[in-house]
Amino acid sequence: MPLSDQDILQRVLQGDQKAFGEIVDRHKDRAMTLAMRILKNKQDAEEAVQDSFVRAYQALGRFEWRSSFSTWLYRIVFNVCSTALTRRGVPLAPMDDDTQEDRHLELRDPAAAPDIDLESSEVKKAIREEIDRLPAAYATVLTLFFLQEMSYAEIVEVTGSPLGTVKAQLFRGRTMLREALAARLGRQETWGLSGLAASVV
Amino acid sequence: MEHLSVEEIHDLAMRVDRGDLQKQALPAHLITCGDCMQEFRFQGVLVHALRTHVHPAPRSMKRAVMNRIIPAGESALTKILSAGGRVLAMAAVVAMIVYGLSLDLPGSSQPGPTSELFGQMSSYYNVAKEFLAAHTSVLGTSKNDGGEKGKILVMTFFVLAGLGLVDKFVGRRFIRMKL
Repeated sequence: MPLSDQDILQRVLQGDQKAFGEIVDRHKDRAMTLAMRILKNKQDAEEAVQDSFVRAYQALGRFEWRSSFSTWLYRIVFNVCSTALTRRGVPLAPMDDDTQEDRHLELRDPAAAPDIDLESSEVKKAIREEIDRLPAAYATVLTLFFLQEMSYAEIVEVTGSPLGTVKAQLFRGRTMLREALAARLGRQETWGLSGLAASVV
Repeated sequence: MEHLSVEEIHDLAMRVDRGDLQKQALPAHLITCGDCMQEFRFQGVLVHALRTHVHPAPRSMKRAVMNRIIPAGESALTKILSAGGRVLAMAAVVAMIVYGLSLDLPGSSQPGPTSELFGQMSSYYNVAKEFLAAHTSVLGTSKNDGGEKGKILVMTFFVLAGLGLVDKFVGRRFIRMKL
């Protein structure tokens, strides 16, 4: 059974510096993905992730395990990337209101919910490309929520944004993605009752 | 009819994805509500698209991070390899000199490699000596001109300097690459 992050980090804290390499191996791809979503530049993202791991190592003694290590690490990655963006003079986040309103019902807006076959390879390719085009703040929240499977609370911890902002960014990012897909793919394709829908009915 | 929240749908999609929930066990509302089902499927595809759209970190990332955490050349293995390399280099120098001298034993009709090398070095040495003698009176007083001890010392100096350079510019890089 593989060791947990906590077990490995305990070894690091006890002086086994090389054990930190296992932590780097485990988290580098997802950290890199998050950095790419924010910085949208491979070289900058690599530098940011490298810096983040070094900072995490240096601050390890102060980590109190109130959250998972990955959440803490992604917060460092997020902060390092945000600082890099600030240096470029690019704001990370478009200003979002902090409404606590659950936007779920608005998702039923037909304009934001195109009738397209989401399971075609063309659509998947389009989704990937459109994600890369999203503003950094939206792409970040979508990545944390859907890829890292973080809860709202964890995303709040990573980004330092209020819960309402996180929800709004998630909603807007998803809406923008759907709209971009609708514009790109049109609505000639239909859901029908194929795939999952058919299998569960 | 009240729709499921995004978070609820996300949670259902994740549970189905992990195999924790059978599709047949999905809430009745999700199955019968076109909007919620569409959102459910959209989330599933979005998750899949995101998962297959990972930007992998370069393979050198780990080494780069570890080099910054553990300064280069500080690892125990590096020290051992480095020390071992020096011992081997010294042993090689001594062996080479001893071997060269053994081929150049008194009474041998053929000159050994050491003598040939010394011959070449002597010519350079003599040129340098004549040049210096013409410009300074210090070397002119030496009574050990061309002595075997001098030759061996000069040779040893050059060989060690050469090995030192090889160690610095080739050996250490090789060791780091292996690590």
